[in-house]
Amino acid sequence: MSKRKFFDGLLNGITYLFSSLGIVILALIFVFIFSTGGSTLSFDLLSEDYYSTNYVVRYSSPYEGGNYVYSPSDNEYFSSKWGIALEDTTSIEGTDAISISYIDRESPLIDGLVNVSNSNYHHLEIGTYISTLLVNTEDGRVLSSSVRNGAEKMCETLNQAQTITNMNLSRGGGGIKGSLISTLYLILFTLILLLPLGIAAAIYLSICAKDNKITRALKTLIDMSSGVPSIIFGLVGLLIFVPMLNGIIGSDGHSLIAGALTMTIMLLPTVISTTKETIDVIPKKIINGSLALGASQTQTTFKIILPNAIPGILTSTLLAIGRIIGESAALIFVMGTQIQDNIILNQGSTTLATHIYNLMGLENPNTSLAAAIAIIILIAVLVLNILVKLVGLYFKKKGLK
Amino acid sequence: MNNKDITVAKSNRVRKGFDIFWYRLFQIITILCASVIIFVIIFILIRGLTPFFQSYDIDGQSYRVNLGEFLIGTTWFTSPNHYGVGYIIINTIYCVILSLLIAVPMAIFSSLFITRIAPKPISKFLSIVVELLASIPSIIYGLFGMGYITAFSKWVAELFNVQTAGGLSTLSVVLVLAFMIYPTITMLSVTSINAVDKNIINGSLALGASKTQTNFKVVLTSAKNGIFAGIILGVGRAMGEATAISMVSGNANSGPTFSLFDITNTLTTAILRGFNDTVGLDYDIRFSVGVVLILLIVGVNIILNAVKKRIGEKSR
Repeated sequence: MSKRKFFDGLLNGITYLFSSLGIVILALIFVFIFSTGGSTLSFDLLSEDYYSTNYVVRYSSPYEGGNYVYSPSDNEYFSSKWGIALEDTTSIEGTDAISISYIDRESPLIDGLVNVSNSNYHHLEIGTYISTLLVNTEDGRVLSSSVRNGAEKMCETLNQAQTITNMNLSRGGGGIKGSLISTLYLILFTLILLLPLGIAAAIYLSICAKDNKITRALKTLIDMSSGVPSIIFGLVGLLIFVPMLNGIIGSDGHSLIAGALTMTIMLLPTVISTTKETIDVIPKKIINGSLALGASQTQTTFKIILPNAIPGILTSTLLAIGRIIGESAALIFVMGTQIQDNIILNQGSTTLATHIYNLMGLENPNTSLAAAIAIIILIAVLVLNILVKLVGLYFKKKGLK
Repeated sequence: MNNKDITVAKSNRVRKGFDIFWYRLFQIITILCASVIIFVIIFILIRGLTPFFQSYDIDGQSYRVNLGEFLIGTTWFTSPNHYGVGYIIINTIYCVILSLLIAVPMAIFSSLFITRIAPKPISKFLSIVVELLASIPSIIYGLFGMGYITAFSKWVAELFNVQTAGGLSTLSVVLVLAFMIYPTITMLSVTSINAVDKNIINGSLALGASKTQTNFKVVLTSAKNGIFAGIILGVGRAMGEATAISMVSGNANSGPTFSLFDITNTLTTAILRGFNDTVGLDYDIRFSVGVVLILLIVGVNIILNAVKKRIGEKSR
């Protein structure tokens, strides 16, 4: 008896151990993603371009210097001569940077800087990063300063300057606005194609079709395509949709529309089976009642079956959105991995997931930005999961009444 | 016949026409949806077989790839026209088997815990954890793999005094795969254990078997068909997984790799690599790898389903 107890205890112990492993893995994933990306995640990240715009400017007429007043905070340095304050910060990408935190309205720099490349006046804005500075002093010396020396040194250099020979400015950069918009477009276009096809096929299979060999074959074929790995769909998209769209919408290789088409054929089985499940459980007497009251098959389909299938349609829409947000392998082939700031429908771009793939494939993987995007994806997936549950609960309650 | 009857008859005809129109439209759409898989296979097959039958112009001379050499080759590419996926096939199967060795026990124990052992709140919590794990996209598993799992592999390798390529190794691939298929197998196992007849369980308990004995000897045996279905699904997912693995595999150029700490290569990573080329043999050969992947998945599925049938018959 004690031997049996021992073995029971042992097996139970192993069970506890293995079951807790799942929780440990999930916790580790969350810890990793949030500890690496949490500090990078900000609202700016969502609204900024990925590529920064760089300017080289100069200020060539000798400047006597004004006497501007400003009370700088802890890590700010104010140049009373030029009327601007500099600040040590980190850029959106997480590297060290010096940004302009304040410009006096009377400062000569605000509209007086000349762009070296096109000789136009450059309007200086708060938030611009300064990477290098090269100045001439009154007594003819040349001084320079860069990001590495910090804001204090850069400010000292500015205070001694009579003319600015060369100043490297950059604005923005490191954001994911483009990928975010691209993901939203992809979701929109995929759903526009996917839902009508999926719902029509679901209605046909569960209501209209006769139960014969052909119908069963169609069902088997649709089930089979749900087992095909996504990378194969990527190859198919590359073979069929990319050349086809090159001719139709004048794309050159990768395009967002090709991505939407590929996601459509990939997600059809999911949508069909989820919708079909709800249509299958609509009580036959409702449908027969509608037909008996003189409604045509068409009227019954659109006024009785479709409204009753809404929970299934909603669930499959949410599932599809989740899959689109998370998909990477197939989209790498049909949409490419080139990050874009302006999304054009007949050009390649990255979704959030392929943006991560691009970042991690770089020579110096940008893990913090990748993890910040991963947080966004995780939150989206979580919210979608909860919504699926809520939809189920809501319609269950409604059905009981 | 008065005017009203004519109108009714007319409207009936129109309605009938509408019905037929929608019926045909839905039928055509369904046939289209079902034929996707046929198109997929035909297109991949045609393009994938091209390198073996058509000559390619490389540096002024024409070449084609030898099919036999391709299937048993132990080096990915030897200039100008020798490709081999033999070692990649072996690597893929090896990695999948090892990941199953980790994921299957984990999944079976977890599903038993969720359904039979844990108190309700804990069981509910664990189900949510498993569902969450299932819904995390592969790119995040890949990112996690590059961050923590490669570091873990490196640490283990150092315990054995072995060098790794920064943690990119078979072990990392196996762990990532195991974590990814664990929720799939667990969810299906939970469903099938829940479906076990309560009378069998009560019978076993009444005959004097302890709760644990019942769980392991009666419940698991009765649910093994469902658990096996979960394993088959997990194997399919593991073999088709691409991005996550490609981030931790290290893309070995030759093999096969049996050491846990050496870099490796699977069929999907081979397809994913060099996706930037657009023409030529190097581009087309990836479709051939795609054909091999499809055939491997279909083959493994057929074998596993036969095994499942055998097990099902035995238990009767």
